[in-house]
Amino acid sequence: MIRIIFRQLTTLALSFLGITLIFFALTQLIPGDPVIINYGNLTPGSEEYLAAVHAMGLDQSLFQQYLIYVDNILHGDLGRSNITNKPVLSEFFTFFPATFELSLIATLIALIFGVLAGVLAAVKKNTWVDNLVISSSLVGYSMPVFWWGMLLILLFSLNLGLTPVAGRISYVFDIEPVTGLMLVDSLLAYSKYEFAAFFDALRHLILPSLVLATVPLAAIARMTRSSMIEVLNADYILTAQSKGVSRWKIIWVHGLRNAMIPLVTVIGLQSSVLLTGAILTETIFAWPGVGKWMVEAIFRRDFPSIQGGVLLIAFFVIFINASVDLLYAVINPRMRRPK
Amino acid sequence: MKLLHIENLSVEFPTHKGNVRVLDKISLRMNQGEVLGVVGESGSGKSMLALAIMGLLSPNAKLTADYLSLNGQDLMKLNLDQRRKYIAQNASIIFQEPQTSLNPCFNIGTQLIETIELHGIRRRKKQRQRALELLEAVGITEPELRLKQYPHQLSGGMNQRVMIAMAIAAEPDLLIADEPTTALDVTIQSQIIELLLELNRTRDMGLMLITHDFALLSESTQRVCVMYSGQIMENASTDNILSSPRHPYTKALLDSIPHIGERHHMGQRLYSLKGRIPAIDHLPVGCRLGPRCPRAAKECVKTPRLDMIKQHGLVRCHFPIPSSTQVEGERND
Amino acid sequence: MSEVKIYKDTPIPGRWQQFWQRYRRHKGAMLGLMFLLVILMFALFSPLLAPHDPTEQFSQFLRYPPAWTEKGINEFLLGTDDLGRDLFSRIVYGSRLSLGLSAAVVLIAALFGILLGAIAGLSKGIIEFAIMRIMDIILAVPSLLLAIVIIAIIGPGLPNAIYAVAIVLIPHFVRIVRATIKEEMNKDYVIAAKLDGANGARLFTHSILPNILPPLIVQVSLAFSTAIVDIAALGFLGLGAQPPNPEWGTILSQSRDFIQLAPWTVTIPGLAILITVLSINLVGDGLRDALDPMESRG
Repeated sequence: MIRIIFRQLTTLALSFLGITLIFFALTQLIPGDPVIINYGNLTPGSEEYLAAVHAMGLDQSLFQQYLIYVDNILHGDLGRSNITNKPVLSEFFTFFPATFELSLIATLIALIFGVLAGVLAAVKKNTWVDNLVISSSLVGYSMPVFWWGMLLILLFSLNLGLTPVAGRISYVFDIEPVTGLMLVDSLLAYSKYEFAAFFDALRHLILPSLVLATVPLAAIARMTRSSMIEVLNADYILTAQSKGVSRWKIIWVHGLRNAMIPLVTVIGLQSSVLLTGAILTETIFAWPGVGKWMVEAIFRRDFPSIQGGVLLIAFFVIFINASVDLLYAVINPRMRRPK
Repeated sequence: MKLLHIENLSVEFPTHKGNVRVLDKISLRMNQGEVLGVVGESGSGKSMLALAIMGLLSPNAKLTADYLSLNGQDLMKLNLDQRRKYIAQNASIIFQEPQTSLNPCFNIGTQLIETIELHGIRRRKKQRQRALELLEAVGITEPELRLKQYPHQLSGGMNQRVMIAMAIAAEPDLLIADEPTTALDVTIQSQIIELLLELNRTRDMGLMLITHDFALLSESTQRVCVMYSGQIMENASTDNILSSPRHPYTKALLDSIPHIGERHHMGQRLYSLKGRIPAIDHLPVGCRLGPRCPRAAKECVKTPRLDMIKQHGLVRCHFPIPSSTQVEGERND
Repeated sequence: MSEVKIYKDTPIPGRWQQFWQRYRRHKGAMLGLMFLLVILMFALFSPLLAPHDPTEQFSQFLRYPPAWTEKGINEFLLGTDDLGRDLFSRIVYGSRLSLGLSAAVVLIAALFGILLGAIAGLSKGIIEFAIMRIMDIILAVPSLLLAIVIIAIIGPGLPNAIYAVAIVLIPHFVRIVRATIKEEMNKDYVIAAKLDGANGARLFTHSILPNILPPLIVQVSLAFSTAIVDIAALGFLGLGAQPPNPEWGTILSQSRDFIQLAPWTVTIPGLAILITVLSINLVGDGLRDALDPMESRG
């Protein structure tokens, strides 16, 4: 186990180096004067300009510049936004909890319903239940997220008036950001609003998380189904049946436990899909998260924010993937101790 | 009371070309404590027969039988759940690949204790004790350690012993061993067979030994049932079959066994049947062995019946081979 | 002498015939193929099929609903948008953009992906390591975000969107090509061919290419549907095709403000995207099952 953790940490470090290298190369490609891009409009030749040149190491070799770049990242210095002039790192962490909350709930929805639907379809293979799961998961898998979001807004928010159109919580509630997770923060404000704020936050969360969950849910359902069908054909399922193990236990214990192993990898890959979806979902629902922040940064040509933001998101995805690999080793006994 | 009594058992599978019959009117009887060998090439339906008896056919398979009873209970009168439960109490099965027959995600202890628990032992301590007993009974060393290990950490032979331990946990009256040694090393094979025979003797447990290896059956079984393309071709006592096979297919199987030092001399070719076993949805007309049979004649396009031959057993052939022992006997007279 | 037919003989179909037989059995895949052919027709013959120019503004017919509704008129089958443009014509011309652009994207991605994958698969050590690490990192950045970053550097607009989406799709091709090459190179029949003195070129054409084709075809279909969605998403975010281009995602982003006044300008272009992507995915599923007979039973 320790060996596996060590290997994951090595991979993590290597990926970190690789990412910084690629991003450093990308920054060389950004058209225009790097000083002006990163520090705003300074007059070339002025004292401030020269200081900036020195700070970025532009008067040194490319390799030195890269070392400075990595060193800055390791110190948490990702530069300052040239619009708000705040450090990119702190900007990122003001927006990140909203994205994290949305993605977490969406992941839970996708996981629970995806696995349920997949198992059901596998058990009822070639029946109408199976066909329903197959066809609806194919539609969900093909769904353009941005349109799906608009459609649900049209139906539930505008026509039926059931859910809010945008944002995380109504303006009437004044919630102090403690954790940054609105569901938690609204509960912390219990003394002020009792459950009213919590339910309001929940109502805001339902539609965006459903929209965001759709594609991963469909993917998980499809994978669970095929993985489960394969597992249910295995010899050890026959053994369990011949022993007289109940059908319920065969499916949910003997079957799912094995089917989960290939699934974990897929779920890890979905984290990248999920964040892509989050960019679009946040744009549609005016959800103040990292995705919306990134899109706005591009329109404002706020390069330090784009660079820093994407770098952090990439780290996040790599971290998630490393954790998933670790989880894979935990749930797969064959990975633990070779013969 | 027969241990196992099968009359005209057939199994069909629906395919996009219509139903395919993989077992055709199989009839079999086994006495308590008997050792029956079932032999045939791969694709002959012998494993399907084992699954059919154990009630393990996939749900789309259609099983029909005039009579199917285990330990006196007519299985056709039970619904699926009752049948599975009854069979689990009275019969066990072990498969060809011990590595894939055990669940890779659980350790040996969990799987063994699951079985023990299903047979009525509730207390943790007793379950563990029984598990250790069973592992010792099948000759596994360091049982304490094995309980904690996973299937991939044990050798094939060891896993097969675990499978046998799980099979006898239910104290069944019938144990079906479906090619139990095919996937194992040659030296381990005889150990496993010896273990199975020992359990058969000491526990008075009927044993159905399914194999494609005639040599294995010759020393261990009382009766042999030869299958080909989903049908029984010959069913007789092991002695009769070995001394004088009456069906051309049985003879071909026997002739294909290499013998060290006898029968085959250096440079002599080993006998084998021409061609391959036909696909089950692509069967020849009449006798299923027809196109491959050295004795085939015009009449073989008509389907032969499984007929009784006196002082021998059941044979499905229009032109059975004359008995060699009888010929010898006549000469001696 | 009359011959006795012992076996019920059926001729054994050839490789492509077998493939088509298996594909045809898939009802969904056939449906997808039909839809795809219709969309392809729309794209190829847009000028003939579209009743109007996609950018022509009929100022007296602003926001007319589709023809089947009470207020709709037959002149505009799917209604008009806020500038009085015929939605049906825009959708028809949009199919040209959607299919054409994604075809270009897939072509670029496949070309570079296969090349890099072959290099990685046939080489060992630092080159392979470098290529695969870079691909891993590209995969770690969410596809749309990476496309956005690339556009941020090279600027918005259609050609740049094509490059961006293509770059995002390259790693998948590299991985598949490399994995197949590695797998095949270790198989006994390749070793046998090597021992018989087959050179690299022959090995590639005779053993690797035939085995790489099935997963590659499946990957192309996957890349195709991703390309369509991503191009539309970029258009929707205002980073891809620019108005008045009738690209489906761009149409959607413009209709967003009129979602309540003219909901059909939102539902119809989105439906067009969904149907196209769905058809491609159906065809992709069918291809995968038909090309891999071992898995088709699942």
